[in-house]
Amino acid sequence: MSVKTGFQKAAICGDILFAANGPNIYAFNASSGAHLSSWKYPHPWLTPKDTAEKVAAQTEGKVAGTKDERADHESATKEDEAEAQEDGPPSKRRKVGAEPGQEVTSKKDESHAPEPDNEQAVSGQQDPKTETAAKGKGSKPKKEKAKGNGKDYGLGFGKQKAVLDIPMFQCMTTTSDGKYLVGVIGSSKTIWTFEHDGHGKLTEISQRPMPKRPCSIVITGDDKTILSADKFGDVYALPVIPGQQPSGDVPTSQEGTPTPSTPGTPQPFKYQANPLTVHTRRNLLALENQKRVAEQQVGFTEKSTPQVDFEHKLVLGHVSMLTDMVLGTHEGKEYIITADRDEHIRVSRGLPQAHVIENYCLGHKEFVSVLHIPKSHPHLLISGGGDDHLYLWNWYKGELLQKIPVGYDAEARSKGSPELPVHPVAVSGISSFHHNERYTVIGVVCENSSTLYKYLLSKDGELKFSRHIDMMFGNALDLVATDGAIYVSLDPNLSTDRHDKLTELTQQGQGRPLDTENDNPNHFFWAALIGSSEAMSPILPDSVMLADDLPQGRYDDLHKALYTTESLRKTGYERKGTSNEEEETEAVDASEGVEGAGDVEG
Amino acid sequence: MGTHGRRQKRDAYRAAQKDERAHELPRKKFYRQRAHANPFSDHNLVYPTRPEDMDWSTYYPAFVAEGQEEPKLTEGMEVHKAEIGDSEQRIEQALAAKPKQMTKDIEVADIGCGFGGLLVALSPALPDTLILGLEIRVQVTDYVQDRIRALRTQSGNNKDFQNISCLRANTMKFLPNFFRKAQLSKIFICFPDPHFKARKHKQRIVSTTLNSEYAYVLKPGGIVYTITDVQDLHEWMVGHFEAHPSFERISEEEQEADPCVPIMREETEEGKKVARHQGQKYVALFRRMEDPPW
Repeated sequence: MSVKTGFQKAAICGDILFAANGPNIYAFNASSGAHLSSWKYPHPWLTPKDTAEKVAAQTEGKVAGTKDERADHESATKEDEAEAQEDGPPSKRRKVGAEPGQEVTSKKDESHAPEPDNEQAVSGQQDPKTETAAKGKGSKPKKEKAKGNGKDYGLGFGKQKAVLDIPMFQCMTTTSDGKYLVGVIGSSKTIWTFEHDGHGKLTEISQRPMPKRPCSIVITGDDKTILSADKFGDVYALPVIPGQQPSGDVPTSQEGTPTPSTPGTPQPFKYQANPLTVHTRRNLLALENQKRVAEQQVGFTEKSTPQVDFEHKLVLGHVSMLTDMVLGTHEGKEYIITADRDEHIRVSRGLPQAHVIENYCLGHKEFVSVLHIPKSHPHLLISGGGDDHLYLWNWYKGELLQKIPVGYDAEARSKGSPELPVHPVAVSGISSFHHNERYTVIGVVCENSSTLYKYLLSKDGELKFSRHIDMMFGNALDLVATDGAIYVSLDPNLSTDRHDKLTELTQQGQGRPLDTENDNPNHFFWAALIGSSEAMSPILPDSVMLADDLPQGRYDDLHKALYTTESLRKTGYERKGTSNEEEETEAVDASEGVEGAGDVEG
Repeated sequence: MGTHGRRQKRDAYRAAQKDERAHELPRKKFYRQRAHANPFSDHNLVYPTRPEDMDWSTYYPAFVAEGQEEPKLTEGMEVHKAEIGDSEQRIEQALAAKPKQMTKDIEVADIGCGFGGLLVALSPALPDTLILGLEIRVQVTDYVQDRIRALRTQSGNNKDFQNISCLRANTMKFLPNFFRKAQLSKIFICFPDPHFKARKHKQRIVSTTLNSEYAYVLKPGGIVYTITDVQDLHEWMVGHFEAHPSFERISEEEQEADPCVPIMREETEEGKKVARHQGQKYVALFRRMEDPPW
């Protein structure tokens, strides 16, 4: 049985609905559902798993020469041959087909870039492949391994296995004038910028691989700057059009990062300790060793991060994985609002003063995954995450205004029903449109759920549960709003009898597929919540031949790539288990008296 | 077996420390823990959702506003006591209770307070100021808490060492959970883990992005004190604070005139250790400036 992939991400630009299916972007007329145009990823992106594994094995088997080979592959000289490898392997590596004349990093960087991929962090120590791969790279085993280990730090996926990288747009947004569309392909950590002709046709203008995987992007109000929030907790600013000055960039400003943390500049090797710094015998020994090694390898440079040779600037950061970012406006000034896995929502000033933190919105007990500011109420922020409530804030003041149930039994709970069993909820999307003078309609979807929760936000800012709508055909993947409707993209995989249900729904007069004659159950589904009618109108973009079937066996990988929100939750083990720390303690007991130089002590 | 015996001894010692030997200063050997902690990991941290949720009354009992009910310990918590570390139990308790009004707010934070040398020395120097040590290592936090309890008991006057306390926290992640905007007037960062390797630099306690958080919890005019014996780290800290628009470096004259500087230089445990080894000590102070108009 073949498996179809849904539209995992969508963006609205006027009446044009951009929807990404894997790394391909389709444009539809939002009101009619008519297909306007498509942009296809220049490489095949779905390969059967067995091929992928075979290629992976090969790649790992002959790792010694990997670097050069990769450089070759990516230089696109043997593109056809290379493609299978480019796109299939379970890769801890970037898969960007470098194309001449585009802004990608140099070949050399390409070959380095794959190593510190977040996937490595994901796989962590659990994945023996990382280990093998690291060992295999005979030329610089130590360095490679060190890099792998360096990424193990609790960014939340400790126990999850690496996902075979399926390239797909994980973020998409457009400039307010609709001239540009910016998207992020997660597996390659690359920001793609497209020029939009206003009628759905996209022309690629740049690819910029970021040092860490971006998880949210926004474009500033002046349409000049992309802000990219990444999984390492940092937010970078980069111009929408490469080469142009990003907004608020004052060249004399001291805001830039001092050299040590600027990614990419290789630092000449330098001893950071001297015989006066270190006190213990072991540390002295280590220092001696360092010296000896350094003498042997003259000219050795300690390379930190892959070089990123386009303009980008660190503007703020959390020491936690960022999950979402929105821009707010207060008294004509822009603010950057960032959410992290450690329950924080931070309000910082916009560029060029993003270093000033104005406030925090604190109250979530679990991770925050989605932020939303309704256009009709620019002072309000709705946030959702691992808690079974939505939080409504006055974000500028950092003031919690309201908590309202979301997820299972939201309706009953919002009516004050007695304690109901708790189900884990992971809010994955919030969107809204201004319906009339009295109400704004808020739509909320949760991961692994086919329910659309509808709330009404009154003119004076009161949030009320309205109803929930079962979309039946599949889980909600993303939702976007136009001025009068909310569109929900559905995962077609999880519902086998969706075609019948669709027909039934049509017969009940609740909605109408656009072209029932050619209705093909394998196609993609959209549910739209339109105005006050609350009817669901599935949109079937039949006129376009969508992606190939997903090969057998890749479904799990696809599922993992699509359903990532719940994995942000800190597990009970992490919460309660102290075994790790106990071990640490014991280890010290066993070697009492050994202390590192410069422990955090005072 | 060996470790088992050691743990038993440690537990027995520390249980005694809480009761019959409460006046005795604790011995470090029963509180050893690996020197480095990973600030990115989730650990097993307990922290308030918001600063307002934190009940400081058990940390600074002499500064509790009068006329308030005693918080009641539920039975479950007593049972808990044996299972988890003292410091953990304490903070859970502080979060469960309805926060009591305090007569003062904490104004000084010692980030990475280690075994508490600075806290103890600062206590008489800033007698009317509440000082909090924050330490990520559980065992070390327990040690400091036992040390402060012993010092308080020894003085017997319900006055000395009442203004210092310590809790376990990962400040790199959770500083704003403990302190409101502009609450603090001084932050001490003494002998932080140098994280020599370039790939670990993100774990350093001073960075461009973290400095924004220090600026957030500091009042304008507040001061960050840094000291280290690692020249490279010193340069790193100076570079990052000077590059941050919210901070300016304090001149050497003013630095040497600050009464907290000699305390930081001489009284921290690590400062003493460095002195024993004739190491260098690099001090730098930074003032939190007013935010520019926006």
